[in-house]
Amino acid sequence: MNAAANGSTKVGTSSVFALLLVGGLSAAAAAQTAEPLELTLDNIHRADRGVSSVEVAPGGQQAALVMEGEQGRGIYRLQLTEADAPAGRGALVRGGAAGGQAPGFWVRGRSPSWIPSGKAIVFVRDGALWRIGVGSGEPRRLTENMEGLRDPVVGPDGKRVAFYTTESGHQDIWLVDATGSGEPRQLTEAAMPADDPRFEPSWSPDGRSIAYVSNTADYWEDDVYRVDVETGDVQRLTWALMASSTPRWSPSGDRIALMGTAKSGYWYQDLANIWMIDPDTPRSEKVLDMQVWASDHAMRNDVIWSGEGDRVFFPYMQRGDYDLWSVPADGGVASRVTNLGGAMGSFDAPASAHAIYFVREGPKHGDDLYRVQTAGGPAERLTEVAPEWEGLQVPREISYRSFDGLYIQGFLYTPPEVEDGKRCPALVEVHGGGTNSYLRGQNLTEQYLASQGFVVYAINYRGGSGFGRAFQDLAVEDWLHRQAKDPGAAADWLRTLPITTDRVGIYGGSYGGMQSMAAITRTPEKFDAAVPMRGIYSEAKTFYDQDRLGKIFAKTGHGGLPEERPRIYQKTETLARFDRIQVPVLVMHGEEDVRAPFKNHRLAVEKLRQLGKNFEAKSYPGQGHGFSDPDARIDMYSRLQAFMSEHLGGCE
Amino acid sequence: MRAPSRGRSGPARAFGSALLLAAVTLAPLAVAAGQQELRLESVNEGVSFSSIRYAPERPEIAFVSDRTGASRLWIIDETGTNARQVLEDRGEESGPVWAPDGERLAFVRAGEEGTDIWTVGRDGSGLRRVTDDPEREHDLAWSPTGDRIAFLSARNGHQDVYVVDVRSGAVEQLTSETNPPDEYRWRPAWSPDGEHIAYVSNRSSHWQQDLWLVDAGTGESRKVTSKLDVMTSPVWSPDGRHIAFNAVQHHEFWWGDQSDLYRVDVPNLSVHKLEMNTWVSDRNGSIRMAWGPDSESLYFRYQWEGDDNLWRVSKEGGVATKVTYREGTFGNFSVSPDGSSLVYARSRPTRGSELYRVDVDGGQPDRLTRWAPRYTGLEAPQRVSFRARDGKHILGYLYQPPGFDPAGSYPALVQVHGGGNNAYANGFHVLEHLLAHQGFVVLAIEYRGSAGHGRAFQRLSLGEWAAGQGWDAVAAARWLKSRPWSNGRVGIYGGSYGGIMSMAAVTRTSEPFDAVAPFYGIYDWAEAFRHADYLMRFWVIEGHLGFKPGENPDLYGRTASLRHLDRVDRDLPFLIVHGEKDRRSPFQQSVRLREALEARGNPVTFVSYPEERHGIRKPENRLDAYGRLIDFMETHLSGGTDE
Repeated sequence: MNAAANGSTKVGTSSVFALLLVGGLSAAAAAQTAEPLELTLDNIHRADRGVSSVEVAPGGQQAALVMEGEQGRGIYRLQLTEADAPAGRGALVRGGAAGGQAPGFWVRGRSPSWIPSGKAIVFVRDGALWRIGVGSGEPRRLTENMEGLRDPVVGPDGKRVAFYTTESGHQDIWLVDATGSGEPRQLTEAAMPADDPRFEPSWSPDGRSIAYVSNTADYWEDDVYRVDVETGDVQRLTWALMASSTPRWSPSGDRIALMGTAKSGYWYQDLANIWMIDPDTPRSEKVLDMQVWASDHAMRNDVIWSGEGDRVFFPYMQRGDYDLWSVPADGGVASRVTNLGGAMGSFDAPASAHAIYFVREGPKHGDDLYRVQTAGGPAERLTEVAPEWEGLQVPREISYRSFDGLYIQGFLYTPPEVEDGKRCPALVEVHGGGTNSYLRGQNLTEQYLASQGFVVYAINYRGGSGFGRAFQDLAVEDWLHRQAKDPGAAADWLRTLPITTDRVGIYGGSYGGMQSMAAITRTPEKFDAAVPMRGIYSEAKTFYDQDRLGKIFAKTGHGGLPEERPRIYQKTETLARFDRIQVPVLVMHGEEDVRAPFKNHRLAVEKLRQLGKNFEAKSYPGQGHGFSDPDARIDMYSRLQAFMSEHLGGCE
Repeated sequence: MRAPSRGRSGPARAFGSALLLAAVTLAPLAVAAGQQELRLESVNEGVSFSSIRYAPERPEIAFVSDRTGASRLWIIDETGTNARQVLEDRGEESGPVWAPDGERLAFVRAGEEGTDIWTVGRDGSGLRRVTDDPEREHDLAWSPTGDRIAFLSARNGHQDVYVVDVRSGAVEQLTSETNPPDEYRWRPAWSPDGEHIAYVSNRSSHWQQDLWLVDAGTGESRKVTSKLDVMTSPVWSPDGRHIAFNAVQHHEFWWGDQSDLYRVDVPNLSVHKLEMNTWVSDRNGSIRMAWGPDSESLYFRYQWEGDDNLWRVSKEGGVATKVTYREGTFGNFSVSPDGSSLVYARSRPTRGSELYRVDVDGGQPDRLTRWAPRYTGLEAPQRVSFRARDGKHILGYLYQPPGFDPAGSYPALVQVHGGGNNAYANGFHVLEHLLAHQGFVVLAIEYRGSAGHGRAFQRLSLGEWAAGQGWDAVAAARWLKSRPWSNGRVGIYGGSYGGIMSMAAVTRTSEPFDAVAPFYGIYDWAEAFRHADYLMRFWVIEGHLGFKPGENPDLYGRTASLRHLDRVDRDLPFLIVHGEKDRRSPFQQSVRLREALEARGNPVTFVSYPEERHGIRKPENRLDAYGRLIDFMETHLSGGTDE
């Protein structure tokens, strides 16, 4: 096979190590009428995306969508004619769009928050806060540009807006009048370090308090606090939990629910507990008793309260499929509300929670808006914004037996050549996130590589989520060690297939970069080429170069800091094992990366050179962990493809 | 005999052929020729596979199938070629076991000569009768030395373990007072050295099942477990050092599809529960786990959210992982002697059971047969959740008529599955497809207490059997009625526990129901307890929090639908169906229901079949019963102009 000019995949832009998880969110302008897009790297990285997020007006009449549509990226408005109906008409239409007209472009910007009346939104544009009415044409500026301004939330009285900025040098909550009169004032003091932009401010229903997450008490801990909006008095609410989602007040304000794990526990981000807090009683936090967990790989989802306050809805991911679940607010048996699977994000609901809206993608369909009536029934797709692609396949879900007898789940993509009886080189994809999973989403990189003549097998190695905590625990304090032998066993299995040649490569980004590099040092004989991207190759040497979230992640994974647990860090170390590498390596990194610090790239290149290994290296100025520049992404995946073609050959 | 199924060649890596098959399924034109219309007769067209057993020495598999009518012994090569019926049609054949050398099979044949053990060569030659006793023999185990066959029989009043000498036919009774005569769940298991037989018995305590070990030479029995309710027959590890079985703690709920895996170490007979991250599903003891050939790991079946898959766990427990990722359900399975493959018969939402082989190194299962009828216009039911009375969401499988138009007007049915603590699950359900083709929307629900959603969900039914559980069916009916396409009429039907649930639903409130068809159910547990077989009585106690009827009359009063008919509208029509020889759900139950409903003035159609036991098995009776069900529902739910 000749290397096509373009290589391909999508690097997300989300905040954690989860980057390669939700593959291409994409959407072409006028998707409904446009021709299906050709699966090229250019299209994958430049085409419009589908829906990114949804914000439903409290009354449920309409939703503000952040998406890329006919008029580019911005905020679009969608009328929701039947949001509060107990049952939607056309609820049984399979796959078709239901619910009325297409979303219309509203305003350029992001992070919309509704004025409770549903007559206007407040949003962020170019580092400032703006407001626009539903009927009025022109947006009005509410603040000057402020550093790191994000996540505005309008208070329940509609008069004030809370938002985060880093003007103070920290992530702090500020308030401004929702009409723009008066200056913004800072409400919290050093709530979070500036490099940790997770979590939104959360208004109490009476508008007197805001609940938020802060590490004021201890740099390593994310506790829940409340601040009195008038007096600025701060009260710490929790001690035991490590928060991983924005706290959400019950409709009556008597409880706060959020996702998190016990501080004594591991980083169970996708297998989190739901915690309940009495907002008037410090140290009242309790794990909500239920038989499943809550998942949030992107750390952008929250729990949603039912209108009556008797239940909470939450996302839960099993074996690569997200669905919405519900549980009594007092705990008990959780039950599943949707039965769609795929990759889901950005859940929201009107105050009644008669319906829940969410963004979802599946293998052959990109991110669009869906709705499920909480009375039951199939979820319906409300938008057709994501573009159609040519030649997508539904990967086969197949497990293989790993080195110790455990079976590991994988998704197998096959190239068209195998239908003609040819054998093709194989690639093992190792997902990012480490403690997350490869999802059954629209993974355009794997789709593309398969279309270019590779058998691609994306594996959910041990230590990932989606298989329960016992499976995740297999890699606790054992990162990149036994865990890194799962890809080699996958390579062995791939070689036994009648559709593969004997050449197998491995690639992955972020934690997948770490896994790729670890695999060729732990099982050097199993691979013929490796492309680790954006990885950490020595936690010990680069720990303190990471942003806060990266540090928390590494600290939990190792059971402590490098100086506290040197033996664990030795065990997970890859750089010191580079002498074992036997295969050609292409290592790539963004030079501004602080999640997987760029220093790792420099150390890796230095060591590979010193050892005289066969390698290539490429770094990208100006690129952080998320590779925001499509040109850089296209170049990176083109190189990946060319490198694999060169060292693995083509189909035979 | 028909032509063998499509073949596979070479060492057959599972994946390659799976790929081919996938290509075939994707091309509708390629299979359209083999398709047929779904019609009432289709309820008798499914092909069954049971007693699947890999041969010891050859790459072939024995099983029982009713493909040619009655249950017959079949052998197929593991590549899917050369399927052959071992014997000419004569009687019903069941439960084959291989001789250790793989040359002969022993099986049970029920025919004019009675029900006895026979042996036959794998090529169909040398058919020999081994036992000749008026009582039925069953559940055979061929000794590792090849000279004897162990079996169970109630010829002396209890189900006991016997051993017959294959050559002489001399029979020796090895155990006594082992199990009640109407208990048919168990199979004896030889130790690999042939010196012991492991078996299950309730002799130490009537309502408890223990694992026992008998010395095949001396007949001396030892009790191995205590405080457990063993749920599957024991399986020896190939090295003879362990015995595995499923069980729950005695007095714990009877988690039929969510039990624990236990290991006994030999010779000290210490009993260990395998601590692991999942449970094990069997079906009333009929599906056992299997050891890997190295005696280090166990394969087992687990049903989650409707799909059965194979799992694997180390004999020490720990993290169990999933071997297959397939939709649908399967019954028993068998591991090849070298441990390289597993075989099972899986039924999928739009396709009846077929035999599949799975490579244990991974990969997609290879389909070995192409025996299930293919129907035109089948669509897999859609999984939907609906909100129950207490806010929980209940899973349902939604079947729609072909060409369903959301702007149209349709009658709907709630299907309530049998088994109670089993599940409807995601297999092929011909009746619901048929009803959908007849114009009904059908919602088959996994009401609380069903398996496949974890023990916490099953626990919701404790103390609520045939009572609070019924509200889930009520919620399903209300949800269906609130659909814009509803014609305003909803019926409910189900067999066995589904009959029980149908009555539980309408005795919560009959308001959302317009027609009810309870098939062979129980409507007063206390009374049924007096007439039912051992397994049902055991199950009744389990479902009533461990109380026997006299011990908690209040609870039994609450769960007796017969006592709550005052909540049923007097105009509500019923179709009651039952087999007259039923001892699982005693026939008398339906007679009582009929009398009580007629006394209230409800219109009742009563149908009974003199020769049927639990369920409806005879093809002509199935045509009659399901034909009546369709007519009954059409009469009461279709037509009319009040929608």
